[in-house]
Amino acid sequence: MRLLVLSLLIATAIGLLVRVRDGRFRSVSASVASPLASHATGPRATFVQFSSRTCSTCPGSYSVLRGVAAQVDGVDLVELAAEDHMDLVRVLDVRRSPTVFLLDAHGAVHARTSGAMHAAHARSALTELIERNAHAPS
Amino acid sequence: MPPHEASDPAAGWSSPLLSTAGIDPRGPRFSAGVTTVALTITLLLGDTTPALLVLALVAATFVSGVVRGPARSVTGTVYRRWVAPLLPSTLDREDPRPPRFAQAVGLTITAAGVVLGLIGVPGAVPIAAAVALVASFLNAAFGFCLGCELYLLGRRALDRG
Repeated sequence: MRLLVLSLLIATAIGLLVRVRDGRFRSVSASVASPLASHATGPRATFVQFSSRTCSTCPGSYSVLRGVAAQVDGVDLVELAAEDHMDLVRVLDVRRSPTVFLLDAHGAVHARTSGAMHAAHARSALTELIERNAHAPS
Repeated sequence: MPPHEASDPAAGWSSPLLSTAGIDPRGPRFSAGVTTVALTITLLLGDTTPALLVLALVAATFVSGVVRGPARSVTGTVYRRWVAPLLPSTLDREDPRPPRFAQAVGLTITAAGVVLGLIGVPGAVPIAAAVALVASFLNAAFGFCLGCELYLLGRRALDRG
């Protein structure tokens, strides 16, 4: 009985934590030379999504990002199979799928997130990147 | 009716990697609900032979899910025959490979509990049931697939070796 209550409490705590954290972009220091530079196809920004074949939330995340990218000029979306890019997975410390990186025009990682995607979070990360670039001396 | 982005493959918005032409995603979720109830019963029965039998039954349904796929497993079949017709129809589809992998993770945990229980290891049945319950409850209540999360970490660990 104690074990039952304990399991349900642990599961609920994990579920709530995941729900809060999923899809929230966090900034990455852009000075890091990006191993993803060759995938930066967007003239202004590129979302790179690492998916895996056992990932139930990846297609949903992909279509959310597709919608966000389609609304802004010069923004691309690239999907990589984590299984086929294990070197990148290790270098970038990808632990879950989907993991999404937001790259600037030069391929430097601006922000990253993982888990179920929310259009609002993706849009605000993108807006922040584009505004920063507009103000940055080129 | 507004177009639903995630369920309109004709719009070309489906992920190129995973097919979205698959199974009704509510099926695996229903199965997780049934599993949650069965594992709750297992835990209520304590460290007893009836508990071991219920856990073995859960393991057997996982076997059917791994062998026949989540849509044709025991609980998947119940869902398609008797539950889905009662629900509003949906165009949402998901790739059956992720839930199938999760069933394999569930099978590993519950089968370990059954085997250790048969050998007579004390506490094996309730502990295996508790671990599996965390995963099935997360799937049923939050739609979060804990087993799927293990996949990439497992691949990384294997690749290193």
